[in-house]
Amino acid sequence: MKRSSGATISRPASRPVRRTAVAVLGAIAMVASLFSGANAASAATICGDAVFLGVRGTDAPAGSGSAHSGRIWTSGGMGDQVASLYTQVVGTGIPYYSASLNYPASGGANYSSSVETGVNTLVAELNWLATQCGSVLPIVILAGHSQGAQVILDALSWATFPYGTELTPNAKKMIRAVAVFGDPTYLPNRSINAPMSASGVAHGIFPRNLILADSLENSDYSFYGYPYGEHGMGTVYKIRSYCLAGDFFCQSDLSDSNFAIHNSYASPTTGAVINATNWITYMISSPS
Amino acid sequence: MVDVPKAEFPDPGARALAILLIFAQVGVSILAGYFVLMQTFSVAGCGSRCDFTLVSVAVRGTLAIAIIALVTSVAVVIVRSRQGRSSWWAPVAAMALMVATGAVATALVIVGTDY
Repeated sequence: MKRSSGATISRPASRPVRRTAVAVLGAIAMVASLFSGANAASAATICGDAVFLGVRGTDAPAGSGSAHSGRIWTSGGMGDQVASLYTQVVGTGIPYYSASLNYPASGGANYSSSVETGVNTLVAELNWLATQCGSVLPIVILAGHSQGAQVILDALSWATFPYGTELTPNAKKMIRAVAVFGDPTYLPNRSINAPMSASGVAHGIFPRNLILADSLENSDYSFYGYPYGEHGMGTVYKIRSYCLAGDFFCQSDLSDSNFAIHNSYASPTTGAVINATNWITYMISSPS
Repeated sequence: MVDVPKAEFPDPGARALAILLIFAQVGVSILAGYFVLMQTFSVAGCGSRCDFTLVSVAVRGTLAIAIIALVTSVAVVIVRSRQGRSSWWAPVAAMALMVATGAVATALVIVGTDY
């Protein structure tokens, strides 16, 4: 499905007529956004365009424009790091329906309950999205920072315990790319870790259970194809976890407690968001 | 040959109480550190506007005070027990110190991440 600027969105094989209709609708939406001057989010549709769902870190400002039964915000609410990624991916010319997850993002004593609420909300939103376009599944991009990263990976890895809600097979299938930054549940030497992530054996302050970590690398979130930046075929992972050396929350090293690093993923110096942008663009353009 | 006076030990109950309170102090210190740590997650929301120095001082300060308080109270309990004097108040005082430290450090982190 041709979009713009040479960017191509590839969807799983489905009904040709519906695909054509979606393409036409997407093109109309894109052209309309060009003439109206509106941002991509307001002109884009869930079924006609890729869906970008951002999940903010702890205490990042909330968004506005509640939608989908209060599960998402249609404006803001992504936090600085994820918003920077969104700006970059939109800049590639691919139209996105953008939203942010409406969850507390609380810290302190309310952290755990905030994550739990976020996971439940995200699972409900993804399950809902998977039913909105008939037999054609939306293309969903997830991005989260800090607590938002944990919320996303918990939602993708937890089965029925302890949150009680599970992603449907279609909800898993529609997820095309997941980029997380500064995940507190980060584990070293995992296949989903971005190449630029910290080397060594340091892990996040809440290291993820190995069984659950394995579930993030199974066939639900990977396929055989052409991995980004590699020559030849191999396993393509739909999840990328960025953890910079010195990030207190994903490295657990008190001697490295320069908290500024946790907020530096959007910095051109670290290049994490730029790398994630190129990877997401590649993943959207690749068949899954 | 000089007679060295033997150290007087308090009754076993008092000594057990002091040791129990040391363990309680460790628990309170971990709890205080946990609350401070959980509050530091707020740096994710303030981007480059955070006072990273203040947050770092609060976290490192809590850790340093916890270690110093533990070493001190253990030393007090050992020395005073050998002298046959009561020492239960040392870990109790250290616990009070850690509660106060945790509260102050949490407040500092909140200030450091407020924008």
